[in-house]
Amino acid sequence: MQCNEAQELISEYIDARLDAGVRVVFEAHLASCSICRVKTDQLRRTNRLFASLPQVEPPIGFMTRLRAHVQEEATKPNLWKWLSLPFQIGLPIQATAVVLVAVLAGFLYQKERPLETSTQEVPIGQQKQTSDHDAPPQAPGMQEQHRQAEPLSQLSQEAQRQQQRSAPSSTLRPFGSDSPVLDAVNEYSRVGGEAAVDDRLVVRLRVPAPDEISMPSLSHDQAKNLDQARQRAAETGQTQSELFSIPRDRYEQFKKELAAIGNIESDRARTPQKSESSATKPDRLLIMVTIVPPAPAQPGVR
Amino acid sequence: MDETEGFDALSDWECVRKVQKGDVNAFEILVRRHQKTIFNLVYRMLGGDSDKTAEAAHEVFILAYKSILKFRGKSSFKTWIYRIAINHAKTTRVALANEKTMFNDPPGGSDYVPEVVDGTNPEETLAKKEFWNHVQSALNRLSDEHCQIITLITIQGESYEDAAEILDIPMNTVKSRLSRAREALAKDCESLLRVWS
Repeated sequence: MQCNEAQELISEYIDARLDAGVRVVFEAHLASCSICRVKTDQLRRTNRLFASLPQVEPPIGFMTRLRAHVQEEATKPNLWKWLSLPFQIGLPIQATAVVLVAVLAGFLYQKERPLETSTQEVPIGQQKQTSDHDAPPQAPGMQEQHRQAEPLSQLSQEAQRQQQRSAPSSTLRPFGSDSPVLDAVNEYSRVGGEAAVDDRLVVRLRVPAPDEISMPSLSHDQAKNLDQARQRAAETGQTQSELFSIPRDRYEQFKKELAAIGNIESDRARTPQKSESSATKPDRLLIMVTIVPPAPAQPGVR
Repeated sequence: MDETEGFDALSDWECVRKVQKGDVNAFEILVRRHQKTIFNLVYRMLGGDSDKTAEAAHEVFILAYKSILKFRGKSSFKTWIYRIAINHAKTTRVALANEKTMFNDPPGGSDYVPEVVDGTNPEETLAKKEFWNHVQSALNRLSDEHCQIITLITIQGESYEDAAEILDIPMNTVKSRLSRAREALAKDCESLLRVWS
């Protein structure tokens, strides 16, 4: 062993950390090298000197002051304490993640809710009147709210904010709404799309088209949607489809009103079946209305 | 009745769990167990200044209390609080060095030649105190890394393995750093070593 190699091992040697084989070689080198022997002795004594530094005691009152400060900290609100509460009570990470996702989803829904319409299903001719008979069940406070509600798009921004603020949160339904239109869409999606529809009506527009349509069986918004779909079909020449959630006892009236704008070409053998949708809401039907543009004129026909 | 009675049988980890659930008495147990070690560690790193050490040690335990909810038991509580103490002492040491309020060598500095003392009269006590002040001064003159390693292994008696975990460095680095630190001290303390037995 050379001196430079031996001097690298002195520190470990004085701490008795050399492997047995290395230690034997090292000690053999020391026996023959006075320089390394002196250096080893010097490092050993330095180590003992600093290891002999007296231990000091914390000052009197150290614990008392610390205790007071800790007590003060313990009474402060702590965000990390709240966030780590699931870990403190031993809630599994997976369950914690599910809880957090659910809370976030609820929060986002609450945030997005003002964008939904909140109109009652009120016949066009009776816009200002109540029609609780067909309305989904609501808390008493909400019924009053909806008597006064108007389509959000027709309100000024300030009126919209006021209407949104005054809606009691306890009646909010995370997976439904007070809008028949959104009810229809939600129901359609919930039970898996086409399987949920109770009936399909294909309406081929008549020429000439009526200047305006009257659909008392629908709410103002539903009637507006239908009219817009009718106009799009007429203007673009493309088929338009709309979904309607209608009280069962108004279905026949609805079909008669549709007949005013076009020929109903649905499969007459098909009667409203009890779909998954109507199984859960027996007093309402989900109707898919497909509006077909007028047939092109036959050449030579007069 | 001492509110911490009955806690002595609990391990550090069990005490930590109690603290995390809001039991401040359990934290006092942890402080009592580790305060001397932490105090001495900080004392040596801050140049042997008692006032600054008391303040820094206090802050170390408050930092530990505030962050105890983040402690998951991956290391021992001792390792965890040592880390907090070393990091805090290092920051304080740098700040004090910038203010030039620390590391004022006692009279004589590194050229100090101590008297040989072999009794217990007041002059000898004073001489001893002065002697140890000079030893501390030699420690103050080390770099942060060398000061940390000497304090942990030589002064506090921690193992190489514990030092590697506390400082979060490889074992080879522990060995080489310790070797260099001892060589630096040996050169700086020749006169002290001549009178010390």
